[in-house]
Amino acid sequence: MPRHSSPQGQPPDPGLLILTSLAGGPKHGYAMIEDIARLAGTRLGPGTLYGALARLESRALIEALPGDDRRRPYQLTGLGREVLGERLASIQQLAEAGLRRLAVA
Amino acid sequence: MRPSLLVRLYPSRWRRRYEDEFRALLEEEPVSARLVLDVVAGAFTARLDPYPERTLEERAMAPRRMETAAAFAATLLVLPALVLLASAAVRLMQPVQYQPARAADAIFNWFVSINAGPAVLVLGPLLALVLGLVAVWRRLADDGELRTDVGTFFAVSGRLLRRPALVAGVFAVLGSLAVLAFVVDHAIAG
Repeated sequence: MPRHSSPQGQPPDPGLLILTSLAGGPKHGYAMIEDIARLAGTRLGPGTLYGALARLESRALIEALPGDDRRRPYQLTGLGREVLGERLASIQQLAEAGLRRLAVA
Repeated sequence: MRPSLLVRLYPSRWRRRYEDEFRALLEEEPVSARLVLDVVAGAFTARLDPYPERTLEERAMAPRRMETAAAFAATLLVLPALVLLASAAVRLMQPVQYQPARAADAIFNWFVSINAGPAVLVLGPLLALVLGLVAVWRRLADDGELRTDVGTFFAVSGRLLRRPALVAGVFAVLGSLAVLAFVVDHAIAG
């Protein structure tokens, strides 16, 4: 598929990548793609990006800001910040547990 | 193909909300097969996703599009049967070494060779009948003005048919025009 795999071979969740990117501040589509490429080594296609943006917006996790031209920036909502925090904490918990087991084995 | 043209694959409710910014993004991305696939897949997903919600006008238009699709599907389903029957009739009316009987014979034999008789002559027309009736009934049920027009059409047709002289006269005029056109065509063709 158009979405690149991560170095681990597992395609990352575009929604999580977008939320993580927007945690650094409001961005429009192209800036998000570039930021995610730097952040996760994954370049989202425009169709994938906007599919995920629409889903996140429908769940009120992100919101559009007024743009100065055709490009429209997005930012995290309070709910989006909360959901992202929970998901990252869960991933961190899983990663720490996995790393501990690897160290013991 | 310009990727921005692919935006038209997205549903109108989606385009109303995202088209400008999506086009702006596509203009910044290098064109590739991967990009095209990504946009096509995105359009397919957007059609399955109920967000953004449709406007009242779009909701009203959706059943109408379904009826139009059903009516065209019905036409396509009945068309092979009409072609088959017409070719069978033409090849009986003329020796097959002459056109158009030769073409009709080839078409008829092709239908026979693929063994599509039951599907073409029974299944297709049955499905077409159901789809056609549904499309007509739903369109008439939704549109009072159309119902009035149809009623007027039948009323006018009924009045005309009750005048035998008029019907016979029109039949004579149209029939003689057809015969004369046929004769002139043959005279010119030699």
